Amino acid sequence: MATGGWPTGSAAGEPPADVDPAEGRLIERSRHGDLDAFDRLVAAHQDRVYHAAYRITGNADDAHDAAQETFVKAFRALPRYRHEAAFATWLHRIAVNAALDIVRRRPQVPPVSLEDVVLPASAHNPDREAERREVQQRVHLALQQLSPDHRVIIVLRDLQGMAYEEIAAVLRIPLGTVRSRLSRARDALRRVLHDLAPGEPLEEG
Amino acid sequence: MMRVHLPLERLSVYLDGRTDAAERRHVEAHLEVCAACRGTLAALRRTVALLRQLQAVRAPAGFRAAVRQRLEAEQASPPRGHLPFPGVRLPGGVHWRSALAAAAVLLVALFAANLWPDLVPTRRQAAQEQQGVRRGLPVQAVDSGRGSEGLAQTRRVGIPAVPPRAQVSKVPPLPFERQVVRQAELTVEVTSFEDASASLVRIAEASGGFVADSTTSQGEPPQGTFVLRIPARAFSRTLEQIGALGEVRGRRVSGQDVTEEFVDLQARIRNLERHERQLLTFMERATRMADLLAIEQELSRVRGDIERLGGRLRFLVHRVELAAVEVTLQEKPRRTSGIFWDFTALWRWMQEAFLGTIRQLLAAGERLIVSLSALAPVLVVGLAGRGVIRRYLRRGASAV
Repeated sequence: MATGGWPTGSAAGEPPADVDPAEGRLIERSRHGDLDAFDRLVAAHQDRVYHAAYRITGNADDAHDAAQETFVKAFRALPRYRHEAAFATWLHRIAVNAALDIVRRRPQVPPVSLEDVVLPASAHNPDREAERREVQQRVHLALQQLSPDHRVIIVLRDLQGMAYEEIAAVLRIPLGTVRSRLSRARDALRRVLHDLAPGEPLEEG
Repeated sequence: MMRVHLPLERLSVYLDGRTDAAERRHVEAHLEVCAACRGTLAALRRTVALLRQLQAVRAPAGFRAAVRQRLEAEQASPPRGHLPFPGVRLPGGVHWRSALAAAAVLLVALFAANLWPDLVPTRRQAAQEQQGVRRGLPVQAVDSGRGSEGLAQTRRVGIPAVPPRAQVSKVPPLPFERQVVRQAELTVEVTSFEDASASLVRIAEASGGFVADSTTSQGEPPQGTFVLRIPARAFSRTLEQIGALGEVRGRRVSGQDVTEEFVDLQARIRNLERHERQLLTFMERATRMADLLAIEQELSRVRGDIERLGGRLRFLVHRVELAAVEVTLQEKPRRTSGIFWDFTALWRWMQEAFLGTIRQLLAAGERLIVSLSALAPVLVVGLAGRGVIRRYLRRGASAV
């Protein structure tokens, strides 16, 4: 149904390390402490990093902390970045760890709300917009009910659209584990969202 | 119709289009006939669709500036936690923090390992203690034919007069210290037999000992065997001095612990003496002739035993105090022969050199293997520790 157009990552989903020569130059300059160059890298990646952090931590404050921590750590660790993985993959590894760090440190049951999050403005129809918001909220909350590991793998695959190989690189787990963990995570989420995602076929067979 | 449903994982992978043609055909064939799996797939697909309609959340407006501000502040003052060796990596990609942590784990492990034997006595120690208790029991029946008697026969050396030390009737209350009979055998190759044997006598006398026995043969080359009696405290020093006379060809040093026999003898003597005193009091009170005779007989037997045991004790004291060193001196064969060039000598020399090198190589190999096996547990512990610590630190130093 609505899966069309999404990068399903059939096999050749992962980009080779550093396709963009401009980004390569920025990385090289940042590696030697050039803050202007790094600032541009931040600009290029901040939204994706922030999104992952937001969905993993579940709220804007923690997401802000995790994302900021990600870039600060990345800047410190850049001299050790060896291009074994794409820069975005490498950045995601740091981001996932930073977010998990916060999740594991804080007390359980995080405060969740969508109010403080900047959403792209797209208001054609107020009624549909309200309904859409509600579904968004439900799915977001459902995600927060999963175990951190399940949440992370779903964020990487179904929100960030990463290929299995890239997920394996980010989480440093074997490909088989990616497959099985992802299927279990999806199954867990399906149970939480059983009314929104019923098992009986509705529109298609 | 079909009883076995597809595992969730295969459906999930199928959903992602990550299946090859054969697998896809298989899954689709199953889906066609299995409503349950169809339902599961549909639910999974809807779940994923719900996830994908989640809006991408953007970083808030001031985010980039905040990151930059923090980094600038950090560049002004170096970040904490990276002070000692910022970013230093050891060979093999080990971060210094992991290395330090692994070293700490290793030290703790070694410490614990060294602590262990103190806490729990080893089985052998325990067995020894038990045996000691059993043997140390006062022996009432004096048995003259004990195996330890055989010790005396192993020495060819004539025993000189006993130093005036242990009075027989008064057993010296020896402190419980180890009584060890030390022996050594040395074979030394010297350049001049005459000089070396003279030096040997001087060494023995300087140490406070003496040459107890010597046998020499004036053959070609001349050689001789000397038995030295050396005070125990000068034992090792004397061995060194003797070794310095020439080239040591053979060396055997042994120590025989006779503490047990010592203690045993003392206890038996004490017992017999008590028995003797009792007999003496009986004799004073005895009135009948027959009794007196019996007591007298018993007394002489007891005295005889005491003398015999005391003699044995003195012998042991002597052996402990004076160590026996047997030295064989050989004169180096001179490489003089009438022939212009002694080929056989050279050949032997070459053989020796060749074998010597091989021996050294083997010894080096042995040492290497022994070192490796000594290090093996350390390596295992270290690697395990490193693994644990890296896993633990991965969150903290996520960029590593």
